[in-house]
Amino acid sequence: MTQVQPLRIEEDILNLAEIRSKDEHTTKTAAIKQFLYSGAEEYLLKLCSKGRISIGKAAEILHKSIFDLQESAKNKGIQLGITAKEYNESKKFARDLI
Amino acid sequence: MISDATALICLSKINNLDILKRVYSVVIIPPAVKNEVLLEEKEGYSSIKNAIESGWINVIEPKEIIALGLGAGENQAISLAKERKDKIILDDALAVKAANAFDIPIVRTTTVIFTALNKKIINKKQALSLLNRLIENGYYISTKDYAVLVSKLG
Repeated sequence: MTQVQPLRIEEDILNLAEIRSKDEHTTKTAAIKQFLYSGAEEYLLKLCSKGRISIGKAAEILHKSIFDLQESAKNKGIQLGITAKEYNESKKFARDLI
Repeated sequence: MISDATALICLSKINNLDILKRVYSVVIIPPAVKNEVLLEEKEGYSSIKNAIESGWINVIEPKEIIALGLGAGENQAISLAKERKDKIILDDALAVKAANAFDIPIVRTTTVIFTALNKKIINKKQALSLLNRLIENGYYISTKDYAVLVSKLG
């Protein structure tokens, strides 16, 4: 579902959207939506890395697969997965095993 | 052993899904996890499909799904683990917290590797190779923790 949202956008960003639309043979509106989507994805991945949202939920919000989201996180250098504290517990378990 | 999508995705990406079979014999997943991992255009599609068809990855629907505010696969996997009083392979930080709230025993993908090592299914060199390939494919381990693990495997 989509909704109309009035928004004031800086002229420089609009110019950038114009350039992107020409580069990618799309509309300026589509380019702006891409900018917005990209920012939303990065924000959700950061929430995932902080343990505030799960990767499965983030994938649902973005209509993306977990595969693709893991790939995006890797490309953006965002660390997903367990926290340091949780990893230490795992590490202790690993130590006990070795 | 129950699994959510991450372990299956990470292990199938490095062509080592069968380590789960060798360690646990059978892995149970709920339908939502099946939907998340069985994507024709993605790596590991054939190995996951074969595993489901041959039955060592068994798809079972939870009788009741607890709404935990997670993704559908995570919700169903944790619900199934609670219902069957089974362990679960989870790597997602928030899903781990949710499972902890129900006192569900948690195993991580890296722990699967060390369990395989402990059971002498793989040797230290193979364990290190698997660990490295997981990291190369986006599985996160901090540099410091990685160093500790590597020193143990060296």
